[in-house]
Amino acid sequence: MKDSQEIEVQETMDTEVPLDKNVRLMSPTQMLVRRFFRSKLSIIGLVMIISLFLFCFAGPLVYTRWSQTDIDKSGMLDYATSEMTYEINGVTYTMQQTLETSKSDNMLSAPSATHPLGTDDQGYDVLIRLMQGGRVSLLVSFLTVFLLTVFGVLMGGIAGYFGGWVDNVIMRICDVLICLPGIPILLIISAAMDGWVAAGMVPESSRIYILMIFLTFISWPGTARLVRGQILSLREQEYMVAAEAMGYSTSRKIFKHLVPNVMPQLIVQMSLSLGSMILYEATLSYLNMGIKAPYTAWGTMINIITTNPDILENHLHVWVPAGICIVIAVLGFNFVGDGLRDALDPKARR
Amino acid sequence: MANHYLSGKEIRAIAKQNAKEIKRLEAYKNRRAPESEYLTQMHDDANILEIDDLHSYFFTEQGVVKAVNGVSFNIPKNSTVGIVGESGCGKSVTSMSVMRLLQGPAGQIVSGEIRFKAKYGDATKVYDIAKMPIRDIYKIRGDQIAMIFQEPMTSLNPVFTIGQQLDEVTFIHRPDATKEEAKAKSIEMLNLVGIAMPERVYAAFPHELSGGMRQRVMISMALASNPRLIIADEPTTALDVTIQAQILDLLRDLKNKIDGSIMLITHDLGVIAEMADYVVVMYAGRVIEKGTVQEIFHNPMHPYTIGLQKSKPTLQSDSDTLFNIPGNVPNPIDMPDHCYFKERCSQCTKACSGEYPGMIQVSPTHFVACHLYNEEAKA
Amino acid sequence: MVKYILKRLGYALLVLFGVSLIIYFLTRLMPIDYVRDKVSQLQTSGSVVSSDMVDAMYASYGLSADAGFMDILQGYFNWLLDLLRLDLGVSFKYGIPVADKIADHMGISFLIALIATIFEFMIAIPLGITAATHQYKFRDYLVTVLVMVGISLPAFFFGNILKSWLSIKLGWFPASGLSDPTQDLFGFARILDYLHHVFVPILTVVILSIGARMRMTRTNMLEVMNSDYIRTARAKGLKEKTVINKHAFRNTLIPLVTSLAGLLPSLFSGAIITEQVFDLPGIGNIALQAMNVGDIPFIMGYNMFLAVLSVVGVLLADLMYAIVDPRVKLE
Repeated sequence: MKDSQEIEVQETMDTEVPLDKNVRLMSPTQMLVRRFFRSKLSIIGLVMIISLFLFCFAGPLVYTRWSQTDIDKSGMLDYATSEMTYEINGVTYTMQQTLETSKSDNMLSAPSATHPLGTDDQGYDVLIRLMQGGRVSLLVSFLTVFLLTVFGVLMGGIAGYFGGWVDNVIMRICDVLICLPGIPILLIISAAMDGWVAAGMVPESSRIYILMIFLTFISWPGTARLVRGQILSLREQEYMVAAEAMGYSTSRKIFKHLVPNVMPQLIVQMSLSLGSMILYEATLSYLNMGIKAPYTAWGTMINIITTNPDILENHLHVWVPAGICIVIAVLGFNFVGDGLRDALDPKARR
Repeated sequence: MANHYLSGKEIRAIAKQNAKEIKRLEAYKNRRAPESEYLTQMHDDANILEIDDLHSYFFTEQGVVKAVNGVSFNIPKNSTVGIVGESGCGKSVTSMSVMRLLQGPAGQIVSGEIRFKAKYGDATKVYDIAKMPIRDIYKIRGDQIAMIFQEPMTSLNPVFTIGQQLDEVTFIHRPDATKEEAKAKSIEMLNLVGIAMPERVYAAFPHELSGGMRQRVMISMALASNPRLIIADEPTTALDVTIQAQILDLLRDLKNKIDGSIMLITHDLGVIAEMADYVVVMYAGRVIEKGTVQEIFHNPMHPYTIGLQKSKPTLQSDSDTLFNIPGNVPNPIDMPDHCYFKERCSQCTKACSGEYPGMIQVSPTHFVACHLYNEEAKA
Repeated sequence: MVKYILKRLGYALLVLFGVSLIIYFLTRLMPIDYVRDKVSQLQTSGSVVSSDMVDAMYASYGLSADAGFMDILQGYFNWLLDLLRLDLGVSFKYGIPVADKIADHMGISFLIALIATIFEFMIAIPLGITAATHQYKFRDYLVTVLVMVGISLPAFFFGNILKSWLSIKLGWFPASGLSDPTQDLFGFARILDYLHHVFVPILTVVILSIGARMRMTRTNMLEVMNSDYIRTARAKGLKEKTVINKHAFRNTLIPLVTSLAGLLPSLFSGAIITEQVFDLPGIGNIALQAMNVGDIPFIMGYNMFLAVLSVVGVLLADLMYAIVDPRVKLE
């Protein structure tokens, strides 16, 4: 045994890489990108969102023939036909009547070269309104998600940071807000706002923004709970105790460590709430609580079918494109959110 | 050194290669095959299990992890073979390969043979487990080979009573058994593993039992099918010391009672010394030394084995500090072809930079994979 | 157990108290003149409610614009006391007590929701499980896409698409209402007629809600399949089928059954949008119509009703959890 130890001991050369460092791994960014793009759905989602943004924000720069408030006044002759069936002595007679009506506005025209998606019941060009309406829908949703996140982080941060009775009060408020029914509560606020608009306290054009701001006030608990939970679990971590032992201030600890810890989940939640906020906005607009003519949003463009069954039945080009845009937007954000969750979740599978 | 990270091109190449390999291996695993295709012969009839040049890989995004890289050892009849090594050395993956429990699609047996002598009544059949289609594994899994896991706390299904989970084993092997028969058998098994109130435990849910009790239940579950081989994957790691001793005593008793063999996986050399007849030392997916328990403990040869023994606290030692082996266990991706232990080793020679050392036989039962003894042999 | 339930009940009352405060003060935001206008519009369309009744209600609930702080406080407690007596006031639009109106229309909504939920669970659970057991295979992607589409479809758009396609274009189903007003049907024929009318609405609800349930099943199942006890079940020599259908399924069921209990009360709340699209006389549509005309008592009453349902739902889910999962002990 002694002898074998005498055998010349060769030092590991400095240039050589130790074996446990030999492995080349993916960088965290690569890992994230890889995980995100592993699912084809994330790519599809991304493409959907980007093309929708291009459509809404760059589209009106290219498609300049009509503007949002232009009514196509190229009135043309129109024929109204009616049919009457009656029965005499077992024989069925059908009477057809054709009336020549003259219109001053080019309403409900089918898709054509002048109007790629036709016109609506007011004579507005559907395509340009789809673009402009999309701007409103997307902007409103982004604004809401931004406010919601800021508010949620703030409340959750306060609750987790101070703890004690502050935490208790904020969490109880969350419990109450979670029990509030979303759409019906917004209906109350909308009714109240109708009153304010009638009284001239609020301009008509900004009602959807105000409505969505109210929505942020009842939908922040999710984010707040997330942030609070993170802070509470951070406080339990050993490295936080270590940081304390090294004399860092509590706020510095929390913010230094909280941000990287909570950011992934926050991003995922934001992209998923973007989808649900677009749905909310569209539903409110559909219920005619949103932006009013001559301006429009996607939901508003579908609202027309609640009062005009003829459009529902015979003029799909007026309302279906708006619906498809909503679905693409929501689907896109959900795909991306799901992909991000897979990419950012440290417990990700496979 | 300059670049710790893979390039995008390399990542894509890995993914492509993995997908191809996984597809091939999954198809092989899920195929239908006649029994003749995986029937084989034992090389030594005294063995119950022979693992021969086994390769089990994990196809990860970072590259192929060769968790088991050419492992060979035998388990003789009526013996306990201890497999020892640091965490991540591939000992659990070896046992999972024997049970064919590797989590697909990433984990796959790539090559090698696992010959197992199954006994049905008086007839014996030798299967190559590695070649078995997964649909035929039920011929041996749970029946001829049973397994006890490391985590008694989570290894029992929380929503079924102990009785339900035990009866199930009886029903697998005797589908015609009545409920009463199954219960009688289960109670008998609980008695066998020294549970004081078997009736009460029988009706209990797992969460109502302590860790030691649950491990006893796991053992009784493994015994219920009268297996020829029990694989115990760190059976005592999660338990406290007094319970550990009890469980080990129980295992030793049972081995004699059931007339079978035990493959004991652990990182605790004390457990090995107490339980095992033969020892296999693994490092980074390879066997570096194997022999009888006396040979390994009294005449360890591989520097790693020597280091392992030195790092065990003893009362006799007059040193204030515990010995430790410098460095970390390497992550077995893209391993170079030289001794994996090289730069942690205190006795490196020039030969160590050469190709990976082969197994050198130093006694009829003692093998070591180290260039030190190669040179001695040459000289 | 009893102590736990009592504690939770007390807590639920506290939450409801908070909800009532919010609903009351939101309602107060509404200008009285606006409400008066709305009521006079209602009267021209034949509502029995007079302006005096509105004023009386406003005074007693402290909703008037000139109410002082004490009036508001007094008014809030008047309203709260009425609530406790299940007196939600008289609806401006319908002219009958709000509680009666809700009770009248709750049944239709409940039936539609119940049938839809049954189908939803029956379809979503097997699909979710297949997706999980075939992770990253074609089936999994298909289910994932279905899930996403279901979650992303707006109810009003999808409902109208189905309506214009199945009911109007193809004419297979009636486009609106609950029964055919031109026919006087009895017995079985009447039931068939109902089912004929609610088929498309139920289809809409099922497709829209199935995604979330499938996702829940899949996520749970994946988690369960990776657990140690599934490995044990496999090591025992159980067939993969038994492992999935017995060991994994029982564990996946825990959150599903829990969610079902939580869902139960919400079956009564009505699907506002779907009922509106198909013009069904369910509670959601009735409430929407009431809200559109500023029917204050109905708005307040309906919102409280929904809040009670969701609080009860949370409570039921917790209790159910304790029943299904042997590990949970209520304290």
